[in-house]
Amino acid sequence: MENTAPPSPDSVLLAFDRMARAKARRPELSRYAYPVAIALLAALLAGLAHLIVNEDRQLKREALNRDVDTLVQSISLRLETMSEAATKFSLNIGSADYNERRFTSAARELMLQKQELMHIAFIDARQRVRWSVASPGPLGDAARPADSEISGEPVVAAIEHAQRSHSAFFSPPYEDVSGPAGGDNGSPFADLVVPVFIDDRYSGAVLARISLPQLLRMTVNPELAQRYRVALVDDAGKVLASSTLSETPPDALVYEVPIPLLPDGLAIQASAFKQRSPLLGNALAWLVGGLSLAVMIMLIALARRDVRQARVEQVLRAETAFRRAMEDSLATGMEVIDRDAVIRHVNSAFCQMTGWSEGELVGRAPPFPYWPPEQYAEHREQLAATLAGNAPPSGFELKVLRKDGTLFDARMYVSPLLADDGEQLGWMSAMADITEPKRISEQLALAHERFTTVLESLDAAVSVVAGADADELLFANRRYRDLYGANAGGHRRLQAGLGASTAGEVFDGETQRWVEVRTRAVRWVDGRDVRLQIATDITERKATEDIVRQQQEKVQLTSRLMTMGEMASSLAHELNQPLTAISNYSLGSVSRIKSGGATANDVLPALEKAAGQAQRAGNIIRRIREFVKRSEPRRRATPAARVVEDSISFAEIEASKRGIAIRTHLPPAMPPLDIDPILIEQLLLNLLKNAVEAMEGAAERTIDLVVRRVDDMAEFSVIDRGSGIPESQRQNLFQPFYSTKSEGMGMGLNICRSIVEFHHGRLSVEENPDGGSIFRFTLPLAREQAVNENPSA
Amino acid sequence: MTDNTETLGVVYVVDDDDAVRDSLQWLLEASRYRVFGFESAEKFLAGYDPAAIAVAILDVRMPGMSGLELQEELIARKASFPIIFITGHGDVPMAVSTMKKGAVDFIEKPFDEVALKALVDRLLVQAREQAASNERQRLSEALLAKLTPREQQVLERIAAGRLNKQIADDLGISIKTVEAHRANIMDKVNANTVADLMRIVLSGGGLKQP
Repeated sequence: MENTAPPSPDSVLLAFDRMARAKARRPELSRYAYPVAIALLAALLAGLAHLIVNEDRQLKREALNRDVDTLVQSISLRLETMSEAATKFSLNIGSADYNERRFTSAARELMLQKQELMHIAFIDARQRVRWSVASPGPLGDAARPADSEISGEPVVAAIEHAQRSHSAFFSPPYEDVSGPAGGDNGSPFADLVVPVFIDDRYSGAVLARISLPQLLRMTVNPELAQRYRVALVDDAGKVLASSTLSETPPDALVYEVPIPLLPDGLAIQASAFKQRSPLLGNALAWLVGGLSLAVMIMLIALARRDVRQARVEQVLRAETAFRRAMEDSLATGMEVIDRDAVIRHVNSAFCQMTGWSEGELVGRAPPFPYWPPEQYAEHREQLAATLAGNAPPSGFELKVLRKDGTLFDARMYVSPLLADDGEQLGWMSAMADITEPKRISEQLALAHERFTTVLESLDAAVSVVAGADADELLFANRRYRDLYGANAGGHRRLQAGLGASTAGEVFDGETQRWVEVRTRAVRWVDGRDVRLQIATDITERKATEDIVRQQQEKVQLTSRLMTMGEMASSLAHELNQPLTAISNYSLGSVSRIKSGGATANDVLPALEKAAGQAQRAGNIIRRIREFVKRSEPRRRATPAARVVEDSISFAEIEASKRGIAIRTHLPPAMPPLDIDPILIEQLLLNLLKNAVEAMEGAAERTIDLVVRRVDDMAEFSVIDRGSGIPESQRQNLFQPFYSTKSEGMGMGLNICRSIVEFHHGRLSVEENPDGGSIFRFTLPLAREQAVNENPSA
Repeated sequence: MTDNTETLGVVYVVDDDDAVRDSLQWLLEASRYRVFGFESAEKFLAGYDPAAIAVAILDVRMPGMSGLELQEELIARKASFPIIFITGHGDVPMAVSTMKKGAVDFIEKPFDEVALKALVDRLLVQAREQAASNERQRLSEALLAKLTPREQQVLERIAAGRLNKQIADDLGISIKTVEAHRANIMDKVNANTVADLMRIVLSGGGLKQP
């Protein structure tokens, strides 16, 4: 009947089912209905059964009664017949022509007819048997032979009774076990006594001995005997004869009818055999019983189904209520149209959003009331697309007309509505008011556009890269893409140029540009840690910086020169003053003397003044000398490493900016040099700067500064890999004011040579076999060292 | 200090270096110039004679007011002495700007006596001529100032070479009136001939425009 238990609604769903909630509080009456019904039915059935049984019993009883009555009647009749026949005998006996023979044959005939008669006898007044006729039947009784005296109390009493009453009389039953041996002799007997009155004088009686069992046998037909246990009983209930050997069970239906004619107390007692139950034997009972059973089973089944149904209903209701609640609480408007585009259902949110009520929408065919008239064409198009199954997954954007005439922007997502079997019933649309989201997204788009515009028009290359290998380019603005393409290669290169720091200036070998790179770690939109890099091309700036620096140097140099120049010119001016004065005084004196009339006294003052001016000039010269002396180079013992380090630290600033490395090769045990360190640093710096400038655009970007000891001098070599100096120019190099540089002033090498020669060394230049030039100069070692130590190769 | 007839001219020397100034004075006085020395431009401005026919020898670089500034000042005062700048500093741009401003020349220390003398003489001649020219201008202006505006208009057109009839048409007056104006003009400026008139006009530095 049931294979799976029905689902029980969980408490969540139940919360949505008002009825269930209410029901939970009420007692379940219907629960009792079925058992009650079934109980009633059972009771009914029991009652019916009872009734049937009773009815049957009643019928049986009635049948019994009837049958017994009938039996008794037939017995009575027989007895009456016997009594009449006996009476006839008794009457006949009185007559003269009646003799024993006639008596015997008539008796025999009677006994043939009535086989319960054992013996008929005529006894005289003294109870002596005169005539004796035994039954010709098997149970013929020879108990009363002729001339035997009748004895036995009951018989004698009956004879006397009959005598007294002048009528036939039956004796009470008595036993007589005498007779032919072997079983049943027909006892107990009862005698029919008919007195004989001859001439009103008692002259004897006719005695007919009746075998009571025989009597029963005779009267109880087999049919009756089959149905009933028929017994002849006396007033004490003792069974005198019975149709059956079995005993009457105590609970059997018993009917007792006294037999008339026989003495009181003799009755026929019949009891029905236990027959088949009236119920079981009754086809109708079977039918009814079967039907009832069927009904009960059905009722039970119904009951169970009902319970199940109720459960299912509850679940269903709860679910429906739940879904309804969900649907109604949705902020999204839902609409269902069937295959002909007629609106079939709208949820409350849809009605709220559009202002139209459910009644105004359901059942409407297009054009729908919420279509703005000016956009019918668009809406029709969208509807056509939907019906054709081509609704885009991202939905339609449309303007919706509210009932009050206002418009709003909405987005509708359409999906086919399928039944369980897959048949398409129509379409389900979800409509969301996107006025606010649209406004926000427009603002966002604008903001994004602004942002993008800014980023894209930035001069700097902005890139975001992720991954341990920095190979995933997450974002790049236009400048980056233009410069480095849409991959992370450029980012990586610049990052490599920074090394470990997060900001700095990097020379990008591939694009041959100087770039200022700034990076920082950033958390990306998806939560990853990525690196943001901003690279600004500073080549021009650097070039400008370079120029500025060069200008500054030049200015410094120039200002140094200018200072010198100024000094010189001021010196010149200073000297010129006394000189002019001397000249004037002298010439004036000459003129006066030439023109005559000038005495010695006239010109004396002038000459004296002139002399004074010469002194003045001398003082100026002296000052110059002193100044020169102060600036004279001072030589002292200086470790080579120091001058190398100092000059390199200055030169490296320039070199690294151009991506050029300076390698130093300094023997570990280099003895100190006898030099003016300031001048030598200037010298080295000058040569190094020349080398760096010569290597503009060179492939090998290394300058070697090699120091080695040669005898008692230290030999310095500045080796560059530039384009070298042509033979023709090499001779002119050391000319003052000679420069191959367009902006050079040509002071450098000349002064360098002077410095070297001041130190008693030599400065020379030669071609580098690997390309470029080698500037070599020698400097003296400090005296003590030169003498003591062995020169090392 | 207007006594200059015996000497060749007045020379003003402005230099802050005492030796140079004194010796230059010594040199120039040997050539019979009348020399006045001033140790600063300010002192010079306080003590010079605007009416003198003179040349000024100015040191370009002096503390306080420089030689150039002094030139500006003299121009402003309309004391147009020719100026000799003593230079020692190769001041070419200065030369251009100073030359634009008036009669000027340069000399370097130490002085070549002959060159110096020649220069001074030349410039004194210029000074004299300038003075004379100034005087003529002054006189002319005084005369021309006596003219009425209408007479000035007529004179202007006469100077432009217009005939009486044309002048009458220009000004919307009769020829007779023009002739009358002419007569008045000649009278006022004391000119007998048109050529005289012209000279006066020209030396007056042009008429003031009405």
